[in-house]
Amino acid sequence: MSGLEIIRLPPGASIQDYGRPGFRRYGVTEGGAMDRFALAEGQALLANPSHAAALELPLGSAEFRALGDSIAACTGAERLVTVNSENKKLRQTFRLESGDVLKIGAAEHGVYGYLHLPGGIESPVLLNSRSAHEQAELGWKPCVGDRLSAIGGVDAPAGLALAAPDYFSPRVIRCMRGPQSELFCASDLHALGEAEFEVTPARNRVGMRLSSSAGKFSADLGVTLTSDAIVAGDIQVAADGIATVLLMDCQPVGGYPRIATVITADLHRLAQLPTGAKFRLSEVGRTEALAALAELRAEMKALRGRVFQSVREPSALRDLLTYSLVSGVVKGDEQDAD
Amino acid sequence: MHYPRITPAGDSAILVEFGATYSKSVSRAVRAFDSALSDSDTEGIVETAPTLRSVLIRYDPAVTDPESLENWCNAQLAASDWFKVECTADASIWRIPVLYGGDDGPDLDETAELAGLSAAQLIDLHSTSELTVLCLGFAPGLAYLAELPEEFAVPRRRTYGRPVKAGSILVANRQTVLPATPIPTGWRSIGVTPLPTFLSYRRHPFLLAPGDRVKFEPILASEAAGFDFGPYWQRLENERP
Repeated sequence: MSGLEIIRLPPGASIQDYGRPGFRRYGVTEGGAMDRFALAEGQALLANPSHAAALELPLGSAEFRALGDSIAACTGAERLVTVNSENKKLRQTFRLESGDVLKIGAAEHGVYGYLHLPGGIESPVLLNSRSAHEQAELGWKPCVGDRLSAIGGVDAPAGLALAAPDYFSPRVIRCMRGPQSELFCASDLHALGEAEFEVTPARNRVGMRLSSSAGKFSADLGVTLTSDAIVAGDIQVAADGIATVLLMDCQPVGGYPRIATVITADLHRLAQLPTGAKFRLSEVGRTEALAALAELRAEMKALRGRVFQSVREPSALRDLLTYSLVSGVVKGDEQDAD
Repeated sequence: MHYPRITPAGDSAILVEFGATYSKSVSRAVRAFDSALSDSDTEGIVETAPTLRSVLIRYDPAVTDPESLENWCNAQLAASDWFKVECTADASIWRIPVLYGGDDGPDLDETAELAGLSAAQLIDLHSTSELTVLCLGFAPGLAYLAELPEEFAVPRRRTYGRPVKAGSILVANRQTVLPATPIPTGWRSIGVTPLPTFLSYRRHPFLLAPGDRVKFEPILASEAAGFDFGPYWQRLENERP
């Protein structure tokens, strides 16, 4: 017996990897983890392959019981993580022994957290991905009583760590104009860059409704548009004039006009904004958006090389005592003892 | 506005629009251009997806810069009149069995009345029309098919009814919609097919693709109960190696 038994889960918890590109022509959007950077951190920490899946935990707390010995790591939104009441650090691998109780507290800063196991979490691969997509009825959304199993095949010790990233609580989210921006009047387009936006509680993996200090937007739909392609990040204005940013599990097509599109490099920063957080939108050109994306991708790629051994992890400390202090200093006469 | 036109759709896709609204010629241009893209093997394209009026091209900015891709598309757009390209009808026809009316086609009588036909006439007209899959979207595997005779120019309902089941045969606006998963909808349900069009565990999980031709065939409830969909999916495996 191995893996983790689920004792408690927040609503909306799901298995996620980088999603499934290539099926949009059949009506399936890419989906995947809301915070791809946090997913990459877990993969770097455990030396997991890049297709490994993690458990995505929105907002609320979770609890698990270890059914065997394992290594695990938590990344993403700031949370209190304990194993049998002993504090564990985020972005640091830790050991679980059979019977241990792992608690992951509610998000204190940010929204989405990720639990990683060696080799990734086992679940069915559908359309080349393990990502759960509720509307598409694809993938696995585990429930209390279910068991999370590690695929294994990698060997990471406890106490491997990554430095905390600084992308939480952004004040500015960058966006680009899109195919339907010109349907909005000049004052709406101006207000987009001037208004203060607030994240409302109406949010999930599909989208995030915003309230705006500029009030409502209104597209000029003199011509009725036929539904058109949606991409993640599109800021849609519905008939009620309210802006919604469409996110990873958005539909592939939609009939409401889109005033702008959040750039790919800022999607995870936006997704991690807590409800009630305020931010501004800043319009950028495609060149700047692509430079930001290239930088983000380089950062994600560099994570594996930035993993370091933290000496504060008790199990790592035992190793230190065994190999350096005990043999090297206290004993000091290995050759004699042989 | 002048069509076709190319605009960025975020930083990792471009949108090639052929019109502001759906029309037969716009949709034909969309499918012809999408098909040309699929055959081109242009470097850096992650996927292309036709809609009722446009083609979305997703690219990997690490492999291609969008300006080169736009230039290439512009050259392609200039090279032929895409609104007049005749799609080669080499795709063989999918004959999709339909149990019309009954519990899963509750809107049959009302739709026939709106069309000024009897239910039997509506079924006959629907099942003798050869349709083309314009695109898939809205939900996984949900196909938009056209064009039905003008009797089917009935409007959608103003409000969504209870969700319809996967395989429902929905009509409005001279189109048929065939959802592959249960969906809430304002389209009118006139029947259901026992043929699943989305099997997530298959190597090719979607039976229908844009450009496919379809004819619906009326069947009896007894035939629906014992229907074997295996040969359809086997044919898909054979045709898409």
